[in-house]
Amino acid sequence: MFDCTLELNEIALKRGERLLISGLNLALKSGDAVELRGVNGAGKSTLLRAITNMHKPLAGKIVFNGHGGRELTESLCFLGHLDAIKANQTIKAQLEFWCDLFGGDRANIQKIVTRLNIPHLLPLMGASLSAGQKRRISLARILIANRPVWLLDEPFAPLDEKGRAQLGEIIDEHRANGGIIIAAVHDTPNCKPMQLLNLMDYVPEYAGDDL
Amino acid sequence: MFNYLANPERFSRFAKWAYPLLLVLGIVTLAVGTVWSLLYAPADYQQSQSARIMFIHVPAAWIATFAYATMAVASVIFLVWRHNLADLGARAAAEIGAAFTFLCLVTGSIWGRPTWGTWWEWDGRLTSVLVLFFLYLGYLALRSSIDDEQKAGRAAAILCLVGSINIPIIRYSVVWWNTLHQPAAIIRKGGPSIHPELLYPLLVMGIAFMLLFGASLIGRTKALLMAKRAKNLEAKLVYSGENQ
Amino acid sequence: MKELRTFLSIITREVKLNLGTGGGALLPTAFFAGAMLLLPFAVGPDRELLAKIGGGYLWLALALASLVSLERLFQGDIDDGTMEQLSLSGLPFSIAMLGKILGQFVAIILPLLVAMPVAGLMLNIPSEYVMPMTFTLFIGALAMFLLGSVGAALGASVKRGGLLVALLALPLYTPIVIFGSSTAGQIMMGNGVFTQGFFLLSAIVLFAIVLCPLAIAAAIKLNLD
Repeated sequence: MFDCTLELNEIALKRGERLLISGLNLALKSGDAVELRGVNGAGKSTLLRAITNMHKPLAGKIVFNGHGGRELTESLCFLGHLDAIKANQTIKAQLEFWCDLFGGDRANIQKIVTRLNIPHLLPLMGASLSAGQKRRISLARILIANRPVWLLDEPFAPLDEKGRAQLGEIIDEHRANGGIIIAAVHDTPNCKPMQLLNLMDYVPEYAGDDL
Repeated sequence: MFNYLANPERFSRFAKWAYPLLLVLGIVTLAVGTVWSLLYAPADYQQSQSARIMFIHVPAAWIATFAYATMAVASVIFLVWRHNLADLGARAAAEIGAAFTFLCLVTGSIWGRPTWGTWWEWDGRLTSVLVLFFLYLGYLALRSSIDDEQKAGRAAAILCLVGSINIPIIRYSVVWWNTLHQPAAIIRKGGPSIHPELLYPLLVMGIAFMLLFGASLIGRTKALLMAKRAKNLEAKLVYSGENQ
Repeated sequence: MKELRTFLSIITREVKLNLGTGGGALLPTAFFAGAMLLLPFAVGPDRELLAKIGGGYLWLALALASLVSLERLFQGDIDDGTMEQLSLSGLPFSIAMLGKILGQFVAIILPLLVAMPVAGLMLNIPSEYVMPMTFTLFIGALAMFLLGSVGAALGASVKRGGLLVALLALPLYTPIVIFGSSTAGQIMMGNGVFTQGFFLLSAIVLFAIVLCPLAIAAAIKLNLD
């Protein structure tokens, strides 16, 4: 069971010269899940990247368990548009690497790939995988890392019907286990209803010109 | 002072009077220095008239280094406080610095012809100026090849800082490599060894170059600022068009 | 201990990926060998002349060969999203980058360590000086790789930035080539490796190993934004 809190305080985001959102506040505790909504370019990905510390927000604070900084990056998993799969290495070797990198337990790998119905992919090279298969490997990476906060950027997109249902189950399970999830989604996900956060509510008047 | 000038409005007001002032002062000083050094300063007893190119070469070398230092300061300000104006200043300083560095190399080469009998002498100091020129080129090339302006500015600022840590090491190594150079004669322990009759016009030329550098820096920064504003204005028009 | 395990896992993976199929760890060595091949054609096959300039030329060839691997150093990991995941490793990002650089260095230096003594012998460098020469080149290669990676990290924002990386890295190589080839000269005079030039070269390596990862991390972060 995870026990943690995640707070976003007065977040403002800028991409290029354009102010995307401002004044965003959000307080989450174990078991909470948020569904990010907004049109293309509203800043969903940018917000997720700001939480991972890849993007520096224009203003505001991100607090995890009462602290800022490293503690959060060490406790989160990020599923973006890119699956980080190397073409010329076996999936098994790659999952083992992610396991070591994120401080997971190698003994769990077999259990997790069985759960995701992908044990047959382990001996294959990354180059021979389809987009949907790659996404499943990414899910395996997240489960192996065993961290409380999940940031998912359109996680359902490349998956088939069965895969979506399975991801829905996994999300519900993670919440039941005390995890926190923020997911950017376009259509209704196959899981228990999440708290809705529409970024369009935070779009400011145009003020992208600070010169 | 940096934080004060980082405000674009204040900078524009400052540039309005500082630019013409520095420009006029620079031109006047340059005229005085040129006449003094070409007509009144005594000829070098060894190198005769050709040594007069020193009055351009040496101040250009000063500016070459000084401009890089300016860039480094501006880069730190940009990285730490994210003042966009500092980024524009760094870019302006790089362009002007590269020009002065080039001037220094060309005059050094011309000086070399009668002095050493060759168009290029691998003299320690001249060679380190050549390396400096390459650092400038790299900086400008990096800037111009990244589309996203914010990103380009930050990448260039990092490169500039890496370069400024390396410049002393490069200088030291080049001098170490080539001991066949003239000792740095202007600033050294126990006062300058150069003859005062040559030193004073040289200093006047140095001041003139400094003033002209300052004027160009302010002028160029202002021009870049205007260009950026125009671009932002355009973005704003497109944005309001999209949302109607 | 957990951090050490993570760090080592980054290094091992980098070595494996580079030595594996399509990893390209042999490219710098191939380039180095090619540069060696052309030297006698350019200056003539005179054995004495080759021995005289050979030590310095090895440094030039090494500098150019190191550039070959730099363009590929970060680009792949940025394009496929690996860099995003590395930034969440639990290690400071600069340390993760150091691991990556060291891993790739190990992969490209292994074949080079075979090629360098052979090249030395072919350039008529006395056989007793070949091993000290290779050792100095090894240290120099590490210095070049560290400084060059900064250029590579900055150039990673640019598609096909190979030539740009060369322009950024080569001026920074000046002191390395100076101290390295001076050491080569001392070795040829029978003074051994441990002369002033070599100590200065080692000092650069120590400096670079501390400072370069910081600059690289900052530069790569620009691409994650």
